[in-house]
Amino acid sequence: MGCPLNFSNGRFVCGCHFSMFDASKNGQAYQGLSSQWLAQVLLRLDAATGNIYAEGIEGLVYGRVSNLNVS
Amino acid sequence: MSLFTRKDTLPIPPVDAERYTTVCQYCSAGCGYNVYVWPVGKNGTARDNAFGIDLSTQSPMLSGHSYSETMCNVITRKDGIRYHLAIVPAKESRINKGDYSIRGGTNAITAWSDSGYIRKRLKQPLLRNGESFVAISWKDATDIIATLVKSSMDRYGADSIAMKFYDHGSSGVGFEDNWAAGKLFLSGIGTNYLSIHNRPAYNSEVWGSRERGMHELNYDVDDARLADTVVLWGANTYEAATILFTEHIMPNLQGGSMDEKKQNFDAGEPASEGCLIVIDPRKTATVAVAESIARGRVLHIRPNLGTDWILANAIARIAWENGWYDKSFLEKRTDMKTFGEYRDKSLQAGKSLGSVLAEAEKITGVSRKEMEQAAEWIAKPKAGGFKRRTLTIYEKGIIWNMKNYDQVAAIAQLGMLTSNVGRPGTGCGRQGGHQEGYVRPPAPTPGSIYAGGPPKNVDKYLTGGGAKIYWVGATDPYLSTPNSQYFRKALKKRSATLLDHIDEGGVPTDPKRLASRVLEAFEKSDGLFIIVQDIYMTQTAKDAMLILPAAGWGEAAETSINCHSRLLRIYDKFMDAPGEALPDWKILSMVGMKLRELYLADGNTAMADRFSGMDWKSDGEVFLAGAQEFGDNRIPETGEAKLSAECYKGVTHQILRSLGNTGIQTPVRVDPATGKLVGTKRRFTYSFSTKDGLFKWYGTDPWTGYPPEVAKYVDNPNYPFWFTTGRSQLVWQTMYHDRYLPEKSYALPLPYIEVNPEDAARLGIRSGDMVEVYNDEGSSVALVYVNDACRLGLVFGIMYHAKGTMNHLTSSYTDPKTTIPWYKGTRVAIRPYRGTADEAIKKASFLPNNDVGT
Ligand code: SF4
Repeated sequence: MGCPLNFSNGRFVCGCHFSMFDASKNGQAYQGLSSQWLAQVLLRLDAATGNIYAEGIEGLVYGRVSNLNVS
Repeated sequence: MSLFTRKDTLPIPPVDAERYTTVCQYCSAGCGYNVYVWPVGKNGTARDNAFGIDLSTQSPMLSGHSYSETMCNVITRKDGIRYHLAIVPAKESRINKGDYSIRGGTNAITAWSDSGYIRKRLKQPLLRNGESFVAISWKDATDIIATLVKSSMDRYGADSIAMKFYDHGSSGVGFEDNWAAGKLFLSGIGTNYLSIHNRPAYNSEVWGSRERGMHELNYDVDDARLADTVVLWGANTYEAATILFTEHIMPNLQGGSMDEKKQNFDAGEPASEGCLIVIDPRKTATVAVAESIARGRVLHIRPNLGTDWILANAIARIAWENGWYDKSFLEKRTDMKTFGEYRDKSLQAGKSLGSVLAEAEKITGVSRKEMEQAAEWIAKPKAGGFKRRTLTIYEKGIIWNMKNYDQVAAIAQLGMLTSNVGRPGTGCGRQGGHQEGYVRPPAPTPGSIYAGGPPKNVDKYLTGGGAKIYWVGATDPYLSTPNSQYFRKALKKRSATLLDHIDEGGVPTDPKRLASRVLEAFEKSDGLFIIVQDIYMTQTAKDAMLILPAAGWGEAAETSINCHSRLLRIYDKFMDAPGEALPDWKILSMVGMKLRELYLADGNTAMADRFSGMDWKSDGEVFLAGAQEFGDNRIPETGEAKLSAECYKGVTHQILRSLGNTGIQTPVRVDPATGKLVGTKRRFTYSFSTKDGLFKWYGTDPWTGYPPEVAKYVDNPNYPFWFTTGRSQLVWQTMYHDRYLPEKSYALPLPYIEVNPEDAARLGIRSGDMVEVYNDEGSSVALVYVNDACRLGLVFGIMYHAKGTMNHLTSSYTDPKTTIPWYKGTRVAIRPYRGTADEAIKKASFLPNNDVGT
């Protein structure tokens, strides 16, 4: 329900109702209340510079009706 | 990369979207939901929409409006038009307050949709033709069933028809379908071979409480926030009735309900953050979450399987010994003529406390210290002499335990001895699995062995060659009945025998020709004609001769009550059923009316009359017809115990539509002073449901060991593990919907077991391995999760899954007093498989689901 997540032992844990998401398995909700898996950020590593670019999101950021602004 | 297509924008319902209220189709919590339907292409805007909130900004945490990827879908109605469907948790519901679980949060994506996940619904009546099925008309299906049922009744008697139908609410059924099933099978056909839902007989799971005069649904959700102590006994609330835990028990443990306590408690009565006792052999996520938020106020007791009634009696004995009971209350509210039996047999007053507790320690494996702590938290008066307020919630760990009757009775009596019934913050009842919606004519077996029972075991009847027709409604016994491998094998054989007799170059679809061939087969063989009525093709349906497509949740208007407040609401129709699928009540009505017609044609008016009154025109009409069962409900508040727990007389679908998510709590009364309908918040404040209004005591049996069906495994080195079963937070029942949702099928790809790390090391298995779990009853294939939920020597398995069942392993034992099985206890061996694991497994998380620490 939009609460911040804590990361430890390979998973994100919600402090409100203890939903747990596996960070290495597509952010899957494997325990708790969340019916939606976490949104995944598409990253690109630029090998030349070592920079990491966030280039997109798969899935909806919780609490929004769109990842982009809507009117 | 995402494993499945994700959404990055949700459709917004316009201001003029159609609106309905409903209740989650799944668990006993019964969370309220709002439904919005609007044509595709007619979206609202972020600022102008049916939700009435500004959607242009990020929703605030907790207090915000929940609307997520899994809460919308696109459906097609019979008008051929595509509509958006949004199903969102209702903030105005006092049950869930806008919250939802991983199961209910997916209600929308379980809707039948030709562009969504749920496409494989049953759409036409299907008749077996060899290895496959052919679609037939409803008229032919009705004619075939009615002809066969009548002929079978006339030739072999009513008991030649065996039935297995739900008795619960939600999941697309409710009072309407239950009344129709009762009219057809109980009033009309009159068979004694009835069975309920997943179990082998037609019984209450809680006669041990009901026969004391205390119906099991006696508390309100508010009591979970008001209690000084909540006891969860064989109830994994966080994972099985999630919102009861997160919205009511958790706030109590966290101190969030202190103001409410002060308002509801007596003047001067101490109030503090709640304590929690969890009695469960496993360290479930319920225990883990509670310990992380209320350290020092959580007591986790882990009894040996099957021994809980001994533990309940020992705790009661400690309370009694310490004088933690109110003598005047017991004298006023209970039948003291029966108390002696309880005192002698359950409390064992003739023996010293020390010897009773020493024996209880030996049987249950629970220490005296833990028993004493539990007794204190349940019963010891608070400072100032105020009675403690304890709410005890029990469920399948008790109900599906060995000796069902005594287990339930012992806990009900512990609640009563300690005055924990009928006051704010108290109660002693079940958590429930489904929601409820029972209204039927009287059943052939009114009660346990002490009240006209026990009921007949339909499974044993069928596997022993009994019955000619077996009609299964909205349940899948091949997965869910105990000892199911044996059951399935026997039924498969009987179904094949029937098919062999009638399939002479094809099965005739003409009802008359088919019926005459089937009747011939009935004469010559033990062939069984299986009818399955469901929304999906089930495992059992694969052996059926006839499959009837039923409407699901949201496809007909239904009504049910939840378990933690008996809150009656409408689960409105917001979409059409696929193809020719019909509501259960309509299917049963068509068969009932045809039977009436056939008996009238015979001139047998007595039999025809048994099927009268089934010509309902609408769901609202069936609901009203069922109300006749409840008798006069024009009584004052003090007489509420005289009413059936489900009594809704005077309520209509229209009234429920106007009440929306507020609903009304059963039993509903007509207030004699005002003539108005009023609900009942909390039960048994004034009297109990017995003739004299007094609670009846009962002396439980002593410990005499395990029944032969399980005792044969004890001390047998070939079966080194105790085995128990239960649910997963993620999915509902057999996963009939969930198997099609990627969020669920990836996360829970196969039936699984949980094994303690030391046992796993000894077996040489790790999380993600596949094993065979077996005993003399049968074998199951399972995926392994290693975690510390089970102690050494105990293994847990999910009860069933779309891809298999652990009920192959459960014994055929039932409590001789109630015919309720012991689903949750047997012994097994485990053998690892070698070979390449299924690809699907690699996508699943194997992190321990009971480790919530950060
Ligand atoms: S807690 Fe139960 S009723 Fe509530 S949303 Fe979850 S499954 Fe549905």
